[in-house]
Amino acid sequence: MRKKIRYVLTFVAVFLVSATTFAQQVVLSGNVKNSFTNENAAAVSIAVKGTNEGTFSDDKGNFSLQVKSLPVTLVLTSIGFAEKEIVVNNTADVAFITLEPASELGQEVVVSATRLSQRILESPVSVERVGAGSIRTSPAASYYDVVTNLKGVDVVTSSLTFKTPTTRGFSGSGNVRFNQIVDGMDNQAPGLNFSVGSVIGVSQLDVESMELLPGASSALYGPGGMNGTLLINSKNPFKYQGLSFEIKTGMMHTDGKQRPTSPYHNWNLRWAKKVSEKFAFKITGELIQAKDWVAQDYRNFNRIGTLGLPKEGTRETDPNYDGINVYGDETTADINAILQGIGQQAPFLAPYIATLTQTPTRVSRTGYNEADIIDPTTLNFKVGGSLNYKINSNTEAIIAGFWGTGNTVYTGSDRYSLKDMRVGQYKVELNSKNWLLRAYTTQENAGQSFNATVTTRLTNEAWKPSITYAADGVTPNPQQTDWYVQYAQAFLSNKLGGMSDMDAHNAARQLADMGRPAPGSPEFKALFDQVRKRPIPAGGLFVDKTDLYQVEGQYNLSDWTSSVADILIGANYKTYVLNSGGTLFADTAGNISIREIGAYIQAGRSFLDERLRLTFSARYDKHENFEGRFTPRVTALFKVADNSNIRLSYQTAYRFPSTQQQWINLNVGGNTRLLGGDPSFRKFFNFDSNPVYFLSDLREGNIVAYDNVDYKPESVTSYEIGYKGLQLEDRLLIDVYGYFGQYQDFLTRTLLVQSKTGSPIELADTSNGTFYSVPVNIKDKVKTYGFGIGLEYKLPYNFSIGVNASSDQITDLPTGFVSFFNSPKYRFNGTLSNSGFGKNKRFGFNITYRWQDAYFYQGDFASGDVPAFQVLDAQISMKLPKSKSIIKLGANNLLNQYYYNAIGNAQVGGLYYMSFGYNLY
Amino acid sequence: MLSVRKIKTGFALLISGALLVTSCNKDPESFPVPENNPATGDLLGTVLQNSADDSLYYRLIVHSGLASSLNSNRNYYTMFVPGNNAMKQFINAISGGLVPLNAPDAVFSQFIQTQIPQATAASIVMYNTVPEDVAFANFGSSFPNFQYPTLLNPAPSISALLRLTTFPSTRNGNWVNNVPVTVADREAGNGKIHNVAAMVAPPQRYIWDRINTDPELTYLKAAIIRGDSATNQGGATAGTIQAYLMNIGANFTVYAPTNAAFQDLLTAAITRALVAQGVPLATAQVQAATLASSPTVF
Repeated sequence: MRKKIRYVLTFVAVFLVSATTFAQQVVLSGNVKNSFTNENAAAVSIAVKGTNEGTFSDDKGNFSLQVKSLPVTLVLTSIGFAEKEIVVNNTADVAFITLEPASELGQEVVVSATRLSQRILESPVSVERVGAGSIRTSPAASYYDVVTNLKGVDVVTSSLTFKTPTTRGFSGSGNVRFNQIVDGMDNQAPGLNFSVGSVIGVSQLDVESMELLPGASSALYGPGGMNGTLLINSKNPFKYQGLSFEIKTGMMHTDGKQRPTSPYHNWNLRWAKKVSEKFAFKITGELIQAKDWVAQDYRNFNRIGTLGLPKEGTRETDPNYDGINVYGDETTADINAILQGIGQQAPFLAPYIATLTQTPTRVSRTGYNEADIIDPTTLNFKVGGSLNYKINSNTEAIIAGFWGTGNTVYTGSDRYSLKDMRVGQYKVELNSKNWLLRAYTTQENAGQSFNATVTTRLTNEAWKPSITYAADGVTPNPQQTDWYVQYAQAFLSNKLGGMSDMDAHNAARQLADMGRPAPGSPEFKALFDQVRKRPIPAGGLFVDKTDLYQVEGQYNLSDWTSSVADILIGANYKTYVLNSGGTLFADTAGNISIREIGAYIQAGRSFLDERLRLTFSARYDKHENFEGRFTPRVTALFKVADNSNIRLSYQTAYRFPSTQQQWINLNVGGNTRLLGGDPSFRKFFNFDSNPVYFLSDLREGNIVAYDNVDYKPESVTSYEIGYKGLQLEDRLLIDVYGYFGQYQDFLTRTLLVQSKTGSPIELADTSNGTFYSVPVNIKDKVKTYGFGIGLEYKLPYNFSIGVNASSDQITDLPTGFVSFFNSPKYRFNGTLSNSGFGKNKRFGFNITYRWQDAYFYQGDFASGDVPAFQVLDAQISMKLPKSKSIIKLGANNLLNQYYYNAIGNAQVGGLYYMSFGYNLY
Repeated sequence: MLSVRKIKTGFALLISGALLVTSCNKDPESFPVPENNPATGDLLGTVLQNSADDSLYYRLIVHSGLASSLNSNRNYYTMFVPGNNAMKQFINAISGGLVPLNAPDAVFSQFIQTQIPQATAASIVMYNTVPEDVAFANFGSSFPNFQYPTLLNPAPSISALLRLTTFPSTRNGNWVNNVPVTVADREAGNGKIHNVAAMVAPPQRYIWDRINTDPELTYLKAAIIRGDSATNQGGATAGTIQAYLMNIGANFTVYAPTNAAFQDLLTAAITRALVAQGVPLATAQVQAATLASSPTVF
């Protein structure tokens, strides 16, 4: 019995000891501060050396971490601070920790270059990184604009909130050759084919970093990254905690050039909470409201099919005037037929009419300016959030979503008002140390978005038909109430009264326009809204609800293979579901699904005592409508000295034709229809029985039949050499690159013409025929080359100066080749900043200067010369440490020197703001 | 000294930088606006006013109230202008000789002012004025003559596009409505003046007026009326032959059989018809002659 009792006591004792030991995990609680400013240091990584355990300091610099026992060594790291190791023997050792500020130069960690974390200095390909700190100190009113100042970046500004960056040429509004990936999700609107990064995506306070990969990047990121990939990463709520907000209020249009001075509002909110060591969440929101820049290029131009070039003439001097940012005037007709009809009715006038109709008398309808038809209010509202659960120290489950809506303006083949457009991106992700699984969807809803051109043309028709047609819809049946009939009769009457041609035209227009709803009038608004709300083709509304679904996974096998090579594998499967109800795509009969599948592998190994690292990547993708494509990439990184590396790369990329290039079926006016390249279109539009011909050839008098060759993906091969390193005691960061690229099977569009009557094609059909814009591959190879150099120098007293210059050029262009290269030969950026001066180092400033050379812009909407321009941005800030807040006074385009970077887009003027930010980090 | 130089250099750089960034961005490339300038120089009315030999016609213009229109620098005209001698002949004719050709100019002027109604004067001037600035050679020599509309709309209430026309031609000389052009292509800021040997007048009446009143064409008239009645309610309603012949804008040539021609034709035709019905030839000829003796045969 005693023995039993002893056993029991022993068991209890052991249990108690064990339990005590278990319960005796040590809790380390402390606070981290900036040793220089004595401010709390948030989002500092505090890791237990040699384990996977760790935590982050919260927004007050506090942290709490359980360790099994003491002593332990804690490793504290944070961008902008020197790494610090602390041997903790006692909990008091971590009560107050200070971190020494250190130069960030070259120390940033990037993931995009190889899909693995590495210092930016050791990236084997060119990569640019913008961290939250840079965004915070940038004068840019929106974080998306910070990209503009990166080396080699071109941005096309369609409107205040619609900006499209790209690198290495081929810039354009809604560039499909440049991927944008937000938290692993392709940010491209699947139906409209433009990235919605600046409209819908991560809110500014939730951006942890933006990584830009210039040039070909398909090998890791899949089809589309022909010219680069921008990855935007949001903040993890475990790491970045607390409530933050920023209220930015400013003004635009201060000179009244485009419209009266108007306010600019940008409100940001982020709240993240680590509920426990296992669970955290975040909620983010951003609201931008402003009066947009006004596109008011009223120059006359040759619309689609004739290179879109501006030309002489005004509404008063050209009866067929078609203003670039004037809509409704795309409707054009030759009034000679009506005049000749009058001659038949009144033979005594026939000889005279014959003198007037020896050449076509093309007349366009009177249009409305963009300012008259597009809602001037830019509104952008984004919300986002995530639920993060740590399954174990290595694995985190994430449910996240971004949803946004708003009004903005986009330039495609026409100007589009994106009104109440809604895009949501939702994902479920399992992210472990060595692997990840992700499923996401992009849900697009065009809302009340409409094509400004089509809507205005149809508004004109709704008010007064141009010409009445018989029941068959083809045979003209002119009526006295038709606009062109009234115009032609008045024109003839005016001519008979002795007027000059132009006066006769202008007076005729005045008569035909009598009673026309005035811009801004209730009558006009009612009529316009009526048309705007009707789906294409009866109205201007595009009912696009296209979705994208993707599943992907990645595994890092290095734990098993590192003795041979570090190997990474991954795969993805995506499905597009085109759903526009026939308003954009040929999906009248039902949704169209498009499937793609792809897989990649990357192997890397170091040689020569870690001085040389070679990486080979390869990706294979199969699209259901195209043959599979293989894209390899080989990179080499030579470590020439500590913090100095030379990189060499051979990269390839390709792009499947976009969903629009496959399935669009859109009448854009001027007898022109945009078609996808799917072979079924040829049958539907009777290309076999009523052949189509190349319009450009026909214009030159040559009849060249369309060859009906199937289109295929375009590709690029790129070679690059670069150097990135720290010099002058690590105070100077140098980044230099040079590249050469060759594009093959370049995808562009060409115009075809078809006889309306089925008769053999003739020269007159260049005006009278039916036109189709179809995607085609250019047989010739196009070469591009360029370079970039960037210097960033840390000066004393917290001053910093950075300059970069870059160049992109295209060569071997065949005659007449429309490349859409759209890139200046040279561009330059310079930044001077100070992160702390004055009393208690509370003040800071940042001045950014940007200049870019003139270039010739080619677009689907309009083309022409874009003059060189310069922009000066600046901000000055003051910290209020006690309230953890910062006040900033800033200006974008400080000198209010209007500039534009694409024909047909608005000119951008000065934006001046003041902001109050709380708990920004 | 060195520091002063540095300051100067820094200042110069600062100024250069400031100048650089404050130099303006360029606006979009602009294009010259095509000119649509008003006519310059002496305009038509002024040229005629300053021309001694055109004083009477200018008097007519003033009386018509069209002087300011002809001096519009936005409108371009070509005028057929009878010189003073031609005007005198014209006035002598319309006055029934009451104004002799050798009367002083003041008498002609007085006649224009007092005896020609303003509306008539305007019609005359408008008929002698055609739109656009046309050198006479450009009217061409085609046959039939180029039909060129004048400013005169005889029935504006029907259509703004109705016009009486002239028939200028360069065939075998320069002519307008068979009136010789004495001096062509006199320049004015807003057009041209072609002097004519006589007042160019529009046709005085419709073809139907002639057919309707000519005693030698009563059979033709009856035939037309009969023809119209077969397809219509008769009269000059739209679509009838009469309507065509009364169309102010039409330019017809009618081959008009005289009454005698109709009688011969009808007599022969009726005779053949009666003979075919078994009537003896002599009887048939008498009956036919009787029937064909009056247009009521239709």
